[in-house]
Amino acid sequence: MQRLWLTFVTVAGLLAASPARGQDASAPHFEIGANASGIVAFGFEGGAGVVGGAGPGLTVNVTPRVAIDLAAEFIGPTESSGTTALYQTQLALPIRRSADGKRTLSFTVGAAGLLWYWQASETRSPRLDGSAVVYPGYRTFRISAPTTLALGIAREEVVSRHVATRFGLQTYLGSLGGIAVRASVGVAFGVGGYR
Amino acid sequence: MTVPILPVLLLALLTAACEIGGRPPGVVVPGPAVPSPFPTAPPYVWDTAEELAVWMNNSVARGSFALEGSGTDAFIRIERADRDWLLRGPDLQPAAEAVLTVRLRYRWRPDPDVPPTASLTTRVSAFFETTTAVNEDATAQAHLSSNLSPRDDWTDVELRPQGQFKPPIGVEYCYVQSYGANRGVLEIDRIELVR
Repeated sequence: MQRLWLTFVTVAGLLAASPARGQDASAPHFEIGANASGIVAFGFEGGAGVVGGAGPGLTVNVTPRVAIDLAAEFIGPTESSGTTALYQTQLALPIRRSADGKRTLSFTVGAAGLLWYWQASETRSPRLDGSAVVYPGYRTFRISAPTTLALGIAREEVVSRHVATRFGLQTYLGSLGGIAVRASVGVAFGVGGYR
Repeated sequence: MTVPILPVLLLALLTAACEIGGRPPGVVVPGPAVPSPFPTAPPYVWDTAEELAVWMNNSVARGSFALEGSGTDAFIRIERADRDWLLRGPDLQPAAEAVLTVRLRYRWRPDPDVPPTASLTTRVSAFFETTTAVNEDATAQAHLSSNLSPRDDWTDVELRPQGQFKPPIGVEYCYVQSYGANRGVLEIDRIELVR
């Protein structure tokens, strides 16, 4: 696992060091958005599994050539009785920009994992002798390590001073479904506006 | 350009999985107590009419019982062995230590209308409320069970431990039960905790 991390950090570094074509658009430091996605996972017995998801995202534009995308999406349907969410953190490294700087194509590399939340109400299990076992209600939150590598491309287009649209296509490799493909669409709001 | 430190730190922080909350252990709510009018010190044998009556005449016991005979010849007659029944033993104070199993002296006469090709046994279980945990579930009761073959004369049977229960174990009280199966008459002449 450590080797995997080193590999993709190195790749990310090399790509980040390469200048993007076109002019450097001045993106806001923060972009807040929302995404909807569909994921097809091929790591299941009996065929592919398909889930859909939607949730918020945050982009931190560290430099004109490096951004960090953080996203969380509630996904379903799943076998879990509670709430399941996908979280993802990735680097977005621009590889091409339009002449007017409004359209950007980026290479993305990152990692994804799952979050689970569920709550159970108190249950009472009667026994034959008139006694009973009472299980108190509880809540559980669990987060898995982001052991799934996410590689892909993302296209962002600024459509107004404060709004941009996004499209992403990624391949997941790892514990989250084995091999999976995720396609997403979304909208982002630039804090302070796009210039 | 060097590899940005912030993204790497963020990614590293997210490599740790965690869990908050979780199912709390169950709590046993005791059922009705069954005090013994006799000392329950060793040898933990119930043979006389008075002793056997303790198993029948309490708020937990259920079934179509009749106490027949007197003295040590007395026995509990279960007319409808095809229906659910339960005999609850007295609370043992102090608890019986190092108990291996329950030995029943019984007669089992299936109804003549039961087809000879059918199974003619009747299944009887015993449960111990124990002084120590039976398995990783601290609320579990020790379970013993056996199929009783048809017998016209008094026969002793020692019920076999089931599941993860590994005797010997301390016992606070015991109850004997069946969900019923074949029609017939089951008679119990003697109940003994074997140590």
